[in-house]
Amino acid sequence: MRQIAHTVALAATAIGLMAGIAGHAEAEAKKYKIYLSNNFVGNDWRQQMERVANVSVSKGPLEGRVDLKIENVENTVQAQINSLNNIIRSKPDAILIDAGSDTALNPTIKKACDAGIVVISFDQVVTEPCAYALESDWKRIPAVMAEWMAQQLGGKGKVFVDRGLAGAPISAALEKGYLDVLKKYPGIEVVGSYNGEYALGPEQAGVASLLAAHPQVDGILTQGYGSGAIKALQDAGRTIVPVVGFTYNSSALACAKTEGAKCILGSNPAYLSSEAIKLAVDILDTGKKPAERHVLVNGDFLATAPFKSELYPDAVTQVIEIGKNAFPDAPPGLTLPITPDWVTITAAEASGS
Amino acid sequence: MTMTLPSPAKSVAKRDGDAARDRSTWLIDRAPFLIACGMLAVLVAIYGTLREGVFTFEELNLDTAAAMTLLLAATGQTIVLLRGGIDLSIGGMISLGTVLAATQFGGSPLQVAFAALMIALLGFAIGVCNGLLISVLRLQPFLVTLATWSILSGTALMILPTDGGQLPDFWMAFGNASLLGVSSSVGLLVLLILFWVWFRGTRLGIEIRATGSNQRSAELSGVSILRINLLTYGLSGLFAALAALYLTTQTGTGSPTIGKDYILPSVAAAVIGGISLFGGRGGMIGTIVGAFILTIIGNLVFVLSVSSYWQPVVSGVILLIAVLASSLAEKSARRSLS
Repeated sequence: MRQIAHTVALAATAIGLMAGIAGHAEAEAKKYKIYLSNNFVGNDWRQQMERVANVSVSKGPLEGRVDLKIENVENTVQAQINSLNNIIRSKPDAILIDAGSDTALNPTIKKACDAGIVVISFDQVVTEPCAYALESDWKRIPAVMAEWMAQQLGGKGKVFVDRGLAGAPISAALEKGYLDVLKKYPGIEVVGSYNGEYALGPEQAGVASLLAAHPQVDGILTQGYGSGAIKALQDAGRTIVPVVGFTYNSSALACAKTEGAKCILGSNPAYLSSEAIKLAVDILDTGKKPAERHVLVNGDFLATAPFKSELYPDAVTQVIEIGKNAFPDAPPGLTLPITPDWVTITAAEASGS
Repeated sequence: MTMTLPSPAKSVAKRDGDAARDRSTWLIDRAPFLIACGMLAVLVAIYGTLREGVFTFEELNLDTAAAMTLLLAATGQTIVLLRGGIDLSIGGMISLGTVLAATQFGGSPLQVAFAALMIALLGFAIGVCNGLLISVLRLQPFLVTLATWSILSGTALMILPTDGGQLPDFWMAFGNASLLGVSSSVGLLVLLILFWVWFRGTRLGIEIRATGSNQRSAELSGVSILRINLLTYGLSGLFAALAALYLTTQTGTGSPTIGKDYILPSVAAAVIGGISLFGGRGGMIGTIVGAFILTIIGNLVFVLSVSSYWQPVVSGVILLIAVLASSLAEKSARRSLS
């Protein structure tokens, strides 16, 4: 009797095990077809974004889970609409979109949603309610950096502010973000503004001409590299004042290598694409949708010294360390940090070298 | 009195010779168009083997919707090219048209119909201004329309600095509606073809082509160049406005910079379809073929899953073939004339 019970138990265990294996195999076999529709590839960021998208499905938790196809279009809305229509007809599980327009793709995206496709817009997001919008927190980035600047100045001093690119919504948002925080410090005065246009040349020229007109400046809030502002200070023979910029590899290196430089760099990480893929796989795996249509990605700040934000206590600031989060051998236009925490993407993989 | 009648045998031979020459001129004249048709047939055949359901109404509906904005813009461009001109201002007019639609369309169908009519009339009026500047001041069409393009683009940006605005749902539903499996875009395509079949036989249609072929002799036979310029550029502006209105049914938004994307493709579609940049030769059917070639290339590149950068490369090669065919036809025509 006991032997029979033992046999039955063994058989049950075996069946259970087999069922378990079968179930596991089924879960593993589920490979999602995901398209990434990108409207523009003409800058370093977009190219890094596509490279890390490919890397993040080739290793780590998403290895073998995603059949990723990238469709680039030539920076026209019509081309992206036509490309999306082709994508929808091939019935993928999800579409990730870096959009050329925040509204003009909406009817096409609605068609994709109606066809049961998970749609995630990222970086340049769309307003269509059925699509998720995954982007950096553009309120937090300028606020934390302006707070850092105020702390560096002890709440008192004269600063220059970069207006970015005339007419670009993101430029106006960043400028407003800086000014809103600086306003809280009556001792801080904005004595000059320039258009840095997210390029080194205009940044350096803009700061240089302001330096000629203003004998005293205590800090510079750029929307671009920051290293252009440092170069302008050096060329004018001024002391290096605290500088705010963004996390390009060249900026981090300039901040780390220039004697006396104090910097904080904000990040719009190129791995937004990896995060969009992960979000799509999570939604497809679990069937559970995020509570909010907007999904914010918080890339770590880089700074020359530790910094703790009071406005955003959960903001993480990494101290710039050459070889660890700034790479002398990698291209200057590489955006830092390179990798999200759930997968390891190397500098070589991100820069394609 | 003696009369020498041509011998019957000689006359028949002469008639045959004339007929043969007529046939060869006909063929030379239409060679660029026929080559375009051949290229489209080959592309569709390849596409048909790579994707299921290519020879269905569904495919026709999708491709026509994808090509329609370009087609409407290219219709106006075709008329101007036949006259021997060029219209770059369609870029500005398309942007301005979408922006006006997105800001001026009210909620009621009557308001929408009125606003749409006003936008179409504005397009015509702006085109007439182009024609006036070109005729009265004797300026280069390229430069005049370059300037109006810039003015119209700036105006569009002043009205709406970034993409936005609202269009009523029924307006967009119209752009995507279908009747018995045939979409409204295919309906528009049929209307365009009917328009062309009628237009090319009208006095104006014939005069435009005559002026494009040889302005001097058209003028000598009583054609008013001022009238031709006003109407060709007016029609081009009108079709650009229609392109803008159609585009808003696809995008549901006003886009102050979107028009520039249609300027060169509208010229490319016409040239691929066999229209001569020197005026006088070709027709709207060729332009339709050209626009479909450009659209099918995009589909093919997608289905082949090769890098999307092949699309402009293939389009460029096809454009080169078309220009080559056009130039050979031009040379043969000149040789047979002399």
